[in-house]
Amino acid sequence: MALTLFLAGGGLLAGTFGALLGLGGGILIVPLLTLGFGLPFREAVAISLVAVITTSSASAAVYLERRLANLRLGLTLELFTATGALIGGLVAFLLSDRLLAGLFAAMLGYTAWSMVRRAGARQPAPAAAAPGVGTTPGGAAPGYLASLGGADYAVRRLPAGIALAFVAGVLSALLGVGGGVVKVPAMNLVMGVPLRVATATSNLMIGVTASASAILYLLRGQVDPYVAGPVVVGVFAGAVVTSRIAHRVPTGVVRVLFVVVLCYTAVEMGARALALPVGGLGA
Amino acid sequence: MPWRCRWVVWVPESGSGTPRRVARLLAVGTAASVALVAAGTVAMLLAGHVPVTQPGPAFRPSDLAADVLAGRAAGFLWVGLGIAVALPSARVALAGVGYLREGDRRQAAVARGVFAVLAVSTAVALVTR
Repeated sequence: MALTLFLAGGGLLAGTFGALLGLGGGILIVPLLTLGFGLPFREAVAISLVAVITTSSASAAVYLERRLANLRLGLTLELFTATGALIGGLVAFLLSDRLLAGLFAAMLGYTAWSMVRRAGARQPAPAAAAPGVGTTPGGAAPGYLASLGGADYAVRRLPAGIALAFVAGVLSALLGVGGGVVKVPAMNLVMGVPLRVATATSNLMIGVTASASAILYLLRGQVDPYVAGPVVVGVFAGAVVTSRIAHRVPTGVVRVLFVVVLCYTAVEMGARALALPVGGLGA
Repeated sequence: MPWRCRWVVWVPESGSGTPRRVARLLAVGTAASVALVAAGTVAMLLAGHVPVTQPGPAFRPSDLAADVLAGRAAGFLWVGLGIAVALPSARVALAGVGYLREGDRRQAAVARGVFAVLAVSTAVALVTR
């Protein structure tokens, strides 16, 4: 009984964290299951992926209902994230995991520094939306890029965003991360999407990225239902409650938490690149 | 019309009901999934199974119906987890159909593309497992 409650409690924490920051929450679940409960890494990643999907579905339902997540933008980027994940999965065995982890750590460090620098200077500068952009019924906006925008922001640098979404997908497959740590900064810093919309849209997208891998783990018998059950129930509770109160949390707090997660992930990736013992990831 | 409040930037898809339908699918699907998983977890505890120390039963699609009818934990857990894993693909398909009905062919094509990539990923997983 105690073990079940601990698993559910860990899931609750991960669901809360994941829904708030646009991550899956695996960044907490994998270390919890491997270091806290002694599960094999692969089994922990498998359960984490199912939890990531639950976080995504539970929080995205609320964010979509409240028109906070951008479904059009999410679908567009998902196309390239999923393609990247597929290609990453196919070529995973050809590339050096340590080299990729080192590059990834450097990129995360740079992203964290960029977010801190932006916060000190000004709010992320959303490009002004043209009148009527994104409001035409049926999405029949004058251009595809324009149709992806929001009420008071326009999406910019779509090719760069697509490239980063592809990279997020490749890294997801190669390194076992969900990609939220790449998607959120890509939408916020590169594409000019407000941070709150970026985290909500990332929450929506993460489910698709994780589901492709989760099917594989499930079919290979890596998911232990007795462990996954309590974790999923806890994650659901955390994600539902957090997604309903997330709009009350100031953007500055979200930004600070996200930078902390980026730094933690960068350190862990750096340790993996140097072949030091690490807890594992699954965000 | 687009509008905003103090903390929330609202994304306008005012002419589209697709996001709302997708939201309902996700809400209902997740609730059903978690209800089944919670029932399975309770059944697991009542049967005296301890997670982590005792490995759970393997995924056998042919046993699912019998396990659920017999009230066994494995049946509820696997059906619930299966719904959870299938939900993202289902919502991509629903979004594609929704945008197609609204005459937004570009967005419908994007959704079809995402669904196709997921289908290929699943096929690759089945072939290489």
